[in-house]
Amino acid sequence: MIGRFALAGVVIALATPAWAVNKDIERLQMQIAALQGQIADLQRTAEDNQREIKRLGDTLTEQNAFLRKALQDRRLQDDALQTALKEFGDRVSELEERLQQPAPAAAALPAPAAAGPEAGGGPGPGLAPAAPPSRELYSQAYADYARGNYDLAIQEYREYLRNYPSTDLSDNAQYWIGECYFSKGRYDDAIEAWNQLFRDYPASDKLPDARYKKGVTLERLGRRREALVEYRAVVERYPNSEAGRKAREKLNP
Amino acid sequence: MIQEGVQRFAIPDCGPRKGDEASREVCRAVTQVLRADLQFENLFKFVPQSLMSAIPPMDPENPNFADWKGIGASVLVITRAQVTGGEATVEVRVHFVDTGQSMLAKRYSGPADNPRVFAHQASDDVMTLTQYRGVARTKIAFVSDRDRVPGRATKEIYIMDYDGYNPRRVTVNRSLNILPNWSPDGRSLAYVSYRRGNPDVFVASIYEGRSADLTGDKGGAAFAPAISPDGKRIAYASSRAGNMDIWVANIDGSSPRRLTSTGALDTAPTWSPTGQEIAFTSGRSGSPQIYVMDTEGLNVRRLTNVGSWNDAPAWNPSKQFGEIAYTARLENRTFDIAVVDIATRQVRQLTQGRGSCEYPSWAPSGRHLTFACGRGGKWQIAVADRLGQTITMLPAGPGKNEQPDWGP
Repeated sequence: MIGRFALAGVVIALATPAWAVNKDIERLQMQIAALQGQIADLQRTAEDNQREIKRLGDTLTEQNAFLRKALQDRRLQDDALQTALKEFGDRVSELEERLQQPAPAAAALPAPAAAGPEAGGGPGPGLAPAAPPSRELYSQAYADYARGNYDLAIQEYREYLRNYPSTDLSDNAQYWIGECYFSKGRYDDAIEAWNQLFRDYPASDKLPDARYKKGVTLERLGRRREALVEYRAVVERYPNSEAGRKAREKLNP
Repeated sequence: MIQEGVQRFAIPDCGPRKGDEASREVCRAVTQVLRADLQFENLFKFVPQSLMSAIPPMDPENPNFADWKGIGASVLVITRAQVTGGEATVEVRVHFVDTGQSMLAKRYSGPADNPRVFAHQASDDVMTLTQYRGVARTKIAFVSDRDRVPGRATKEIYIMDYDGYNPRRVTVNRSLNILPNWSPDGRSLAYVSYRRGNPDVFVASIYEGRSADLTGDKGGAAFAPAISPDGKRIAYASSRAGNMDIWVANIDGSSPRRLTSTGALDTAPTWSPTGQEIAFTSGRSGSPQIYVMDTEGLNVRRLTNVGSWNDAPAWNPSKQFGEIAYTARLENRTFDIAVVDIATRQVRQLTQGRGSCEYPSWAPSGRHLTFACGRGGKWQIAVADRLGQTITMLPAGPGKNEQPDWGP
């Protein structure tokens, strides 16, 4: 750009009247030479500038990529941390519950963190009733779910909720009631159980999964439009969860 | 109904109906194998042979029950056999000693060259008198390098009787074939094959002798197939989305869905007996541990808290036992088989001091399991009762034998 303006100046200079003397021509020629030198300088500067811009651009791209990767790593770390934290929390609440039990049970507590394998079979006779009723009830309910005894499991989860409505496992118990009905094919009841989870435990970590499963259940009932509403809610509220990813897939198959 | 642990069985020597060597040979095999089968079931007590030889010889058609009662027997199992023109006929009768009442009378016939079959059939028929399904006619699939081609990494899939006899080769493709998994009807085996260079999941119809490639057109590597209890779906690990995740597809490979997507390595899926849940190995917390999720890939919980390395979960297929066997690295550098209660998360260690033991798999009744144990390059297949009280190494034949899967 700069170069072309300079050349235009030279053309105007050459168009001066014919009475110009040789000296003038000479001076003009010197000026032209000077200008040409300047143009070359300017061109060099322009090229340097372009190189510098490109270098800066490259650096920026690199930094962007680095930041993106760092962000990704960070997200993975966050996920891992959250998982670890949740597991830690579960263990702590489990221990708390055990410690709240009367002394004899607490004395028989098998320290879970150091719980080595019981070599050659099950626990000793004294250890068997160590789990406190709350944990025992919750475990029993899941054992019955896994056996396919869904009605019994529902009763036991209800029993758990009646006795322990606000432990760290209460929201899980409510979630499982939905799961039991779902496995039985009683879809309306499953939805109702999950709705109750949303109402009673609005801070539950089971919400993303429950809302997604509610969507799946609605689909099974042929209520696809309502299902899409649930999937959209999952994507908006819990975009980074596993349920969020699955909901996105449902919305953009 | 015969109750567990209460009855004391007497299984006297089989009485040949003819004096020829072939008939006596079938009788010897039937006696020996039937005793071994019923002992393996781990449900009954047995009258020792020394006591049985102390009473007067029995007329098989008209046993003196008082004699048998006198040596403490409560159930008497009488067997007879004869061979005519290469065809064997074997009879089995089961009596309550107290009343003399006959509970079972069966007659089997077939080629005389494999008399073990008659004993296995008889054992399973005796087991119909209990609440459990017999194990004697089940098969174990496994991986072996016994037919390796020099200079190539070759392993093929084989099947054998549950007691290690009659091994038969299933795959013949001179590449790596690993991780077999039975379909619940016992007609197919899913496995991983490198026959096209890339690891993919195949399903072999073992009686038709053909294999279908389920994942070859999907890209990535595929591992660890597990057929659902209803036989309609198959779970496996695949890297087709960039990371090793758990996928579930229809049994023909169609409509694959990705269940996990943490960015960690997820593999080794195993179905719960109801088909509503899947346990698997994941490295999401830093070391491999066993997790459980529903078949949508949600409601994920970590199951194992003990041990630095827990892998290869196998969910007990019986609803009666809510438990998962797995390969665990507990105190030392070797691996052992452990079992975790899915509800209480209590762990019991099954093996110890046998080198490394890996890849557990349950018998269909869930009352026994198989796994491979080895030191260095020597690997053989073991069977055990579910509490690990009796562990038996099978005569599985030459080569390195590993990754057993107990089928119907």
